[in-house]
Amino acid sequence: MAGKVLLIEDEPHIVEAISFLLERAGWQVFTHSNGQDAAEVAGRIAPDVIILDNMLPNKSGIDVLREIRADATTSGKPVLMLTAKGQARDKAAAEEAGVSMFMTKPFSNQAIIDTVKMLAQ
Amino acid sequence: MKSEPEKPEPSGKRAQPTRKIRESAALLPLLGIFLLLTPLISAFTQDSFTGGIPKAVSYIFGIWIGLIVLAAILARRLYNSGDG
Amino acid sequence: MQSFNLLVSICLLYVAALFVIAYVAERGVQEGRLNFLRSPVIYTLSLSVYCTAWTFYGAVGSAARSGLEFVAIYLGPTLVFVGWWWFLRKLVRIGRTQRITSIADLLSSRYGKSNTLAVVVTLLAVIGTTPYIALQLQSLTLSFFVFTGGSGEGTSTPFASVTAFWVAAGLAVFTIVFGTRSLDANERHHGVVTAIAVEAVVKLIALLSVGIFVVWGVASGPADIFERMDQDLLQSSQIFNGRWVTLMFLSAAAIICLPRMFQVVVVENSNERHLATASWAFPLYLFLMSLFVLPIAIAGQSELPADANPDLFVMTVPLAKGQGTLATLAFLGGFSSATSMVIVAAIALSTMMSNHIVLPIWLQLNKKRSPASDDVRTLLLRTRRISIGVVLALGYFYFQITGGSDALASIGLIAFLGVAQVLPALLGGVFWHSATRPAAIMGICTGFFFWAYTLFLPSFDGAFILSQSVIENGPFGISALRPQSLWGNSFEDPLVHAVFWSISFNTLVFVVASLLTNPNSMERQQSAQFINVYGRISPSSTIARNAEAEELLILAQRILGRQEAMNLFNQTAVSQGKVSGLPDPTQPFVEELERKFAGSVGAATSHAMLAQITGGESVSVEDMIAVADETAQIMEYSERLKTQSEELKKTAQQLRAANSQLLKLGEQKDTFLSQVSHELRTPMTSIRSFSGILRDSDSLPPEKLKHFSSVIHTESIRLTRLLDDILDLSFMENGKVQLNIAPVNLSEVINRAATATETQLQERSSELLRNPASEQIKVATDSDRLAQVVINLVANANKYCDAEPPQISVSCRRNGGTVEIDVADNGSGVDESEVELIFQKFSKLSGGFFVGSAGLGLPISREIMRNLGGTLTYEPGGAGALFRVTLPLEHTEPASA
Repeated sequence: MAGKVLLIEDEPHIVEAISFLLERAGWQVFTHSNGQDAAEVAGRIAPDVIILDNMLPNKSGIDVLREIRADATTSGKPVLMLTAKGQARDKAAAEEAGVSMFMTKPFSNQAIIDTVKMLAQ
Repeated sequence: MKSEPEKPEPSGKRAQPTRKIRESAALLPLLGIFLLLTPLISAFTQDSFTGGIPKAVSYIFGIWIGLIVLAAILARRLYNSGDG
Repeated sequence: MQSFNLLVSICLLYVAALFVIAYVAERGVQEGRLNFLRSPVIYTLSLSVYCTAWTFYGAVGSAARSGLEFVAIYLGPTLVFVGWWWFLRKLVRIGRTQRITSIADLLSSRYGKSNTLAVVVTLLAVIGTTPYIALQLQSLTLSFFVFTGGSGEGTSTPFASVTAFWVAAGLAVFTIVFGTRSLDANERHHGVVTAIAVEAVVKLIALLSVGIFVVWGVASGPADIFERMDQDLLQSSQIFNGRWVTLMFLSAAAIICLPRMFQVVVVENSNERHLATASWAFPLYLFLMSLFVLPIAIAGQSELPADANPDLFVMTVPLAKGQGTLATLAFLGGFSSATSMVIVAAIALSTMMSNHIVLPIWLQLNKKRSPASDDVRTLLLRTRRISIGVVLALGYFYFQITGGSDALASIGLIAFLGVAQVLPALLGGVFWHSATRPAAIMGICTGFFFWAYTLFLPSFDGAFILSQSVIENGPFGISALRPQSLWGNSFEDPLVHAVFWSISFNTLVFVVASLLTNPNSMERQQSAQFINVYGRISPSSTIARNAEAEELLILAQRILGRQEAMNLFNQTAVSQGKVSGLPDPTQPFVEELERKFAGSVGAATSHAMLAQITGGESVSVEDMIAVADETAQIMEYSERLKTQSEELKKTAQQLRAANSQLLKLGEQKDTFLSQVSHELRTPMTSIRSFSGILRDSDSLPPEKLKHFSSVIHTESIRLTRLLDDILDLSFMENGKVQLNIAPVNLSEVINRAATATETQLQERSSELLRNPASEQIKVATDSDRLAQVVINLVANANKYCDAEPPQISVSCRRNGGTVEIDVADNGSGVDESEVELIFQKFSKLSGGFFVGSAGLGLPISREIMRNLGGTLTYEPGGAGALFRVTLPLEHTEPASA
């Protein structure tokens, strides 16, 4: 039924929680914890939905997003961005970079499942 | 003299005595000098009597009281016109 | 005949009554009651000090000897008063605006406030007045003798001198009591003036009563009296002659120049309008005083023996007719005349002497200390009292020396001429801008010399300085210099001769000297104040620019500077077609000047200044001074504004700096909050997710259940620690942290740190290397806090050290008064560019990434060390990372909390 989700997030407990939730909902979840080669990973895996944390080691989420959009294989992929700052400035920058959806931490479990589902369609 | 009615005068007139009055006040002593300090006086002071009083006496005292009366009139006019 | 004792009693009673009147008047005016005492009537009556005993008694004597001549003595003042609009009004206005205290003061003030001039005038006044006072004493003594049966010839008897002495002493006391009660700003003496006014009434009533008695009691009316007249008495055909004119002139001058007349006319004047009344009322008083002089003289001549003294007819005629009471009244009239004259003259002279002679000398002597005003007041009052005594003593001695001689009888007119010497300077001062101080002094001295030489000294008949032969033949026999006929000119009368020469030379010297000398700036200012005292000069034509180029130049030099002014004037002169000299003060030129001046002093002031010189506008010097004052105030104000605005500028700068500081702080705060938010949200995200999973999932395997619960537990602990750190840091940054300072051994601190980090170290299998020997150092500090720092550093090293296995070494050493604790690891260290970054809040080194670090450890440690009076630094250059803690052996307060 469902497809592939790439989760780019540096907090191991959050990765664990989101993976558990999406896998239980039938998604195949790939994880990556580093901003450095995140876009490359995304191109290789070709997920249906990308979940991207705003604050990553070595590279910010926005930069990763720009790279994803720059790459032809991933440019059309829906990207859900997670942020812990929730500041309007970050949101505006993300939208400019071509984010599909924006979600502030902490989020409800149901919301992230529904959003991923919606983005995949 | 105090019974003179205190009618409100036109303000212009109050502020400055009229030029003629000021000039008269200035000229009065000259009149006195002319009448009392020129040889004119000799013409009126012959040894003759008028009404039992020597002419010289009546002339001098007459001029004198005349000056006083004129001075009083002018002083009142000047005084009343507010520039005393 | 009245007994002498009765007469003395009457006099004493009369004087006592005057005392009471003067006292009541003084008090009344002070308390604001009795305002009628400031009326023009009182003023007019006080002017009657002109009529002294000499005129009271002497007018009849003069009439008996020379007919109508006596009238001239009254007509002169009449003309002056009738012509008050010309001169007296101005004099009174000047006296009031300039607060003049005497005639000497007036002249001194006009001529640049020259004290020399004041002294000259004062001496002249004293010399001229002393014989006059002696004359009053003589008249009084004579009148006493009339009643005690003497013939009037015996005034040189010891009895007469005793009488004169007591009269003089009594007058001195009265004058001192009422003339020096206070130092009124305007030197007005209401008590004295009122007493004088009462005496004036007594004089008038006395003379009128005697006159009426003579005309209607002795004779049967005016016609009858003149019928008894000696045909030669009036000498009316020769009435107009040099003496007539001279007497008129002298008396007119005297009414202005006599110190006592100046005192009552100008100084005691409380309202200028009183002068308007006095302008006719005083001549009327004089008219009434002289109305019966001729009849009394005629009656005396016809009724009394031929050898009777005509000077005493006023009393002897009633006495001869058995009218003792009337004669007593006449006596009181004479007594009033004499006393009022002496009192006012003494006041006037004492004012002059104290103000112009004693005070300047005293100020000279006390130059070093600045005199308190009370000092001066006391001094002035005292010297005035003494001066009054001196003046009366002089009069008394003069009377003693010359007593009874004919010299005294003629002294009245001699004194008139003496004081009249100030007339040219006075008139010039009030009407003539160019009159100068040296000219005034020279003129007065010249006049004084001629007066003394031609009239005063000859009046002693060879008894004083000029011998009889000099008077008759001239000094060294030079007949051209004979005192009473200079240059051989023979006047019919010595008085006319003296008046002519003294006044002529006086005026000549005054005028010529004025033309030859230049007034100084003070004189200029004062002359403008005096001459333009009315404040407005009625413009004589539409454009009354009658400025003097010279004056304009002086003003221009003052305002524009010497050179620029000269250039401007020369240019203008050339453009006006003048080869040399100053330009004409044409309208365009004056306007140009006005504009130029406006640049320096402002338009209004410039206009006022030029208007002052050119007379084109009605602006007084006072106005100018006011304008100048205003300008000065405005300038001072703007100066203050300038400083204020500078201060404001400074304050604004400081505010701007503070504002940008605040903005920066605000930004930092925003960043901090956003970081805090991020750090808090991260554990909360895990907690929320896993707790949600636990809640929603019914069938979780037990190991999953346990794992998820432990994640929630771990993240909760992380959250709590994060909050603790934030609060800790905040407290420490605000210096609110509580320190428990106690002596502690460093080994204890490091033991605690080792224990606390043991688990972490085991996780990474890190090795902690210690040097126990170096740890044996005692420090006074907060051991808990210091342990926290060491724990942080060890934990950090454990986290970030990139060597495997990590080795962390802790070593201590003393360095002077401080202790150093080094925490080092065997990793690659901190990049030089990141050294400052690591001490910032929430910073994570790019290389490292560990769960549970909020990045607050180093900032907190650094704050702790600051609070403990030490430092935490990163020491680069070593093999790995080396953090060094430095703290004092003894705890000291941090430099800034």
